[in-house]
Parts: sequence; C-alpha cells; structure tokens
Amino acid sequence: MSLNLLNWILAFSPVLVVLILMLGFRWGGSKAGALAWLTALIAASLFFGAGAELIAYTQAKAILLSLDVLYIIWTALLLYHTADEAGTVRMIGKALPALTPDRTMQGLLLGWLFASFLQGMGGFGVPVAVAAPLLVGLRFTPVQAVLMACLGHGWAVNFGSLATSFQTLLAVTNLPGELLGAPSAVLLGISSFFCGTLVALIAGGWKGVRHTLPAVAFLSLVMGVTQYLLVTLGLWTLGATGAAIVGLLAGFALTRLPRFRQENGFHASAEPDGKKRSMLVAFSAYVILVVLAFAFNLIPPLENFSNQVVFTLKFPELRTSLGWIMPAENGRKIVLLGHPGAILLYSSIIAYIIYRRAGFLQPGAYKKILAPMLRGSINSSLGIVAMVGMAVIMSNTGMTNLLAEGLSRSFGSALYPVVAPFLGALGAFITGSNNNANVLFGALQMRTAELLKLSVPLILAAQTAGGSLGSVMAPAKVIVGCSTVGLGDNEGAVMRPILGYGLLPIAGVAIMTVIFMLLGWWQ
Amino acid sequence: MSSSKPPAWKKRWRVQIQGTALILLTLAPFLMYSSLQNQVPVGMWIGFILIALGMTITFWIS
Repeated sequence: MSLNLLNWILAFSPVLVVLILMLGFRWGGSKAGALAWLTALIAASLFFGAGAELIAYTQAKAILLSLDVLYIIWTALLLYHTADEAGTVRMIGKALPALTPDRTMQGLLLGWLFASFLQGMGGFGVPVAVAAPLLVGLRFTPVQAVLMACLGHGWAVNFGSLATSFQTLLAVTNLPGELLGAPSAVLLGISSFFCGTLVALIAGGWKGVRHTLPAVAFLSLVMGVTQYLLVTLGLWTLGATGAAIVGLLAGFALTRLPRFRQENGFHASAEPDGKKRSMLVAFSAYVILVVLAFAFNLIPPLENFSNQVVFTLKFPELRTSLGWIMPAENGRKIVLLGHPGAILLYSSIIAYIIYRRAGFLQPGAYKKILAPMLRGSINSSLGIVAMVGMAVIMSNTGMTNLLAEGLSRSFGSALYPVVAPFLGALGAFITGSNNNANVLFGALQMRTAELLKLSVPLILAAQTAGGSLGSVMAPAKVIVGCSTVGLGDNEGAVMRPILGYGLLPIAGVAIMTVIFMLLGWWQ
Repeated sequence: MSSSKPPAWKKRWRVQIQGTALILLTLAPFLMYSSLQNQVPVGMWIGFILIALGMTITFWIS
C-alpha cells in the first residue's frame, strides 16, 4: 500500500470516528466503538485488501486480547464491590482524611502514588479500576477521579507489570536492556513529576499545585532516582514497583509534616451503626491483593504453578491482497491461574471470607456484590471488545503502519525527536496498550532513527515513554475507569479533558528528547 | 433539576440484552477460528453474522 494523503486519511478514519463521536458528540465507548469497528472493517475490506478470512482471524486475535483485559476488569470490579459492600471504601474515605486533611495530598496519595504502585503490580486497567472508586469515596467527582487515576500512573506503565512493555521493546528491536534502560528511566522519571503535578491540579486547582509542588518535586525525584537505579542495575522488571513503593513510603512520611498534618491518628473508626471496625480487616482486600501479586511474581514455584494453564490460539500468516503480511504468530497468552485477573479473583474470594467472618458482610451479601458488578462491567466490556476489534483490524491490515510511516516521513531529523513520543502515544491510544504500541512502532522508530542518523536509544526511549504516557488516554482504559465510578454511558465527559491534560507530559518528553539530543546524550 | 430514572425492569432488561450481545461477540470469533482451522467456511460466515448482530445490539442499546 503506497503512502499518500488519501490512504493516510483512510487509515486514520476509524480513530477519527472514535475521536469525533466520543469528544464531539460525547457518545459512550461502546456505541462509538461499534461504529469505529464498522469503519475499520469497511476501510480494511474496500481499501486495504483485507479478505473475509483475514478479517475472521483478526476478530479471533481481538477477542483473545479483549478477554485478557476483561478478566481484569470483571475481577477488579468484583474486588471493589466486595470491599464496598463491606464498608471498606467508606472507611478508607474516612481514614485518609485522618492521615492528612489536605485534599490535594489525598489525591496525590491515591491518584498518583497508589495508582502507580498498582500499575507496577497489576497492569492494564487495575490502577484505574481500583483507585478511581476510592477517589470517589473521598468525594472527588467521578470525572476528577478517573482523570487522576488515569493520568497519575502514566509514568509507571513502561516499567510496570514487570516491565512487560519494555521487554517487548527489547524483543522487537533486538537491542539490550542496558542500552535502552537508562534513557527510558530518565524520561519516565522526569515524567512522574508532570503526572504528579497534573493530579495535584485536578485535585486542588492551581492553589493545590502551589501548595504541594515541593512535595511533588521531592516524591518524583525519589521515585525517578529509585527507578533509574533499579533499571540500570538490570532490575527493570521491578523498576516501577520499587519506585512506587519508595514513593508511597515517602508520601506517608510527608503527611507527618506540619504542612500536611492533622492531630487525628490512623485508627479504627466508628461506623454509623456504632460498631468499631478494625482498619486492618477493612484494608485486608487490598493487602491480600498486594501480597498475592508479589507472591505470584516473585516466588518461582508459585509462578511456575500458575503458568501451567495457558489459553491461546495459533494464527497462520495473514496477507492482504495489497501485499501486507502479518507473520504467523501465537495469539495473546492468557495465563488463567496467574493472570492479574486471577490474582484479583483470589483476593476477592479471600476478602469475602475475611469480611464475612469479621461480620462486615451479612449472609447472602454476594447477591448485592454481583448485581452492581454485572451492571458496571457489561457496557464497558462491549466497548472494549469493539475498540480492540477495531485496533486489531487496523494493525493486521497495515493501516496502523501506514499512519506511522506518514508521520515519520513528514518530519526531518530536526523535528523527528519531537514526533517520536507522540507516535508512541498514538500507538498506545489506538491499541490501549504501551506493549502493543511498542510491537507496532518499535522497529519502525528504530529504522527511522537510523535513516535520520539520530540516537537510536533515545528515540526508542521516547517511543516507549510516549506509549507509557499515551496509554492512559486510550478509550479502552478510560472506559474501565468510567465503569467503576458510574460514568458507564458518559465516557466522552472524561475523554475531552484527558486528552487536554494527557498530551502535556508527552510534550514534556518531546522537549526533553530534543534537549538530550542537543546535549549529545546516548549517541 | 431532576431527571427521571428508568424503572428497575428496564435496567435489568438492558443488562440482559447487553449480556447477550457480549456473549455473541465473544463466541463468534471462536466459531470463526474453529471453522477456518477445520476448513468449514460456512462457520466463518455464521460467525460474521453473529458479530454483526452483536455490534448492532451494542450500537442500538448503548
């Protein structure tokens, strides 16, 4: 398929449909997704040479990817509604103001530090699905909550989930982690400051930003340095997790400063019914989640056991009539017992038993847990299936590659460092994943950098940093957040502001890339 | 300013219809994959019809 303006616009048409319908007409993700899927199907069939067989295989690939995501969404909602029914969310809503009465600091603790920690442990959708409803419990509006939970963890995506996205970048470029780790850690470490500042802005306005700026600067420095050290020591799989843990501890320490302090301690709180409830029991759902996530990732026998049951499909080589070839591949592997969704499921079941024994839940409470879980998840699940279907059609028919080629060829070596992170962000926005963005554009960015005689490590770092920060704006991820805070039919209300805010850290990465290029770093 | 909420039966009905669409959209790709692997093209076309039905319901009900 030759690159010209008409073809580029045709390739862009499904994304354009999503943007116009969700931003312009404020349609929900499922309705806009269905039309975008149809647009991609028509464009692929009529203009990109996709046959029925190819489209059929893309839909099978897409449903595997969708199930991988839905497994997390459904179980994250299950955990949340279990905790909510037990009154835990209300208790956290009371406990955090006791820790610090500062609204902006509360937003930073949950929307920035806790969400980043969850990204390190979980992955796709978990930080948003868990942190957003907790923020609503603190009386932030649902839109604020989703914005904070999404934007706050953007810096942690690349080295989060055991650095899956970064590992993918290494695989598709065949370059060593030692070469790409340092520039990626530096770009994302500095980005953590932008993410924290955005969360402070959304939580407390400019006044909140001014009030917490020293804390945000200190915490981002602590997390950035920790991540850099872990990554450059070869422990990039723990880069975001380690940094977020240190950040959380430092954040809790900061709340003891007079600036953020209140006399009330972090004790058990009395409920309206007069019963005193143990805070440890209340938090047990999330403590179990953290313990299990660590255990499944760091204890080899457990990891080996959980990896035994894998669901996947094998796909043959796919070829469009215009000559675009997708090599034969294994589809997404869903590790049924060790998946983040499985860990959330185990946590939900154990938490249910604990809450039930502690008297937090009444007999038959599971009905009250399952009903809102179903209501909240079905609509967003439809949106995700449609959006992922669209993305896979685009990538398997060469449409996504054409988009990237058009962008890269339009800019020379002087401007390309600015474009590189936005290209990564575009891939992540379309596919909903930093990992997939690196699959799509990693090799392309490397080739372009070589042709333009630019620093390959720096351009690839910009690609994955852009993908990391761009993935949090993806409609698929926004749908997850909205489904957990009762905005299931109104994702458009979040899409518009998230694009406005979310592009700022990516612009920051672009500027840093240019500066590092001019300084001659990582040449 | 108050907006009238849909009755409970309507909510339940909506969730059930959406659930049906989700089941169609989930199962149809596996039917298509299995048909292609076993060289039974009719299954692929049935899969397409089911996906189209699922997407139409999604668009209509959302």
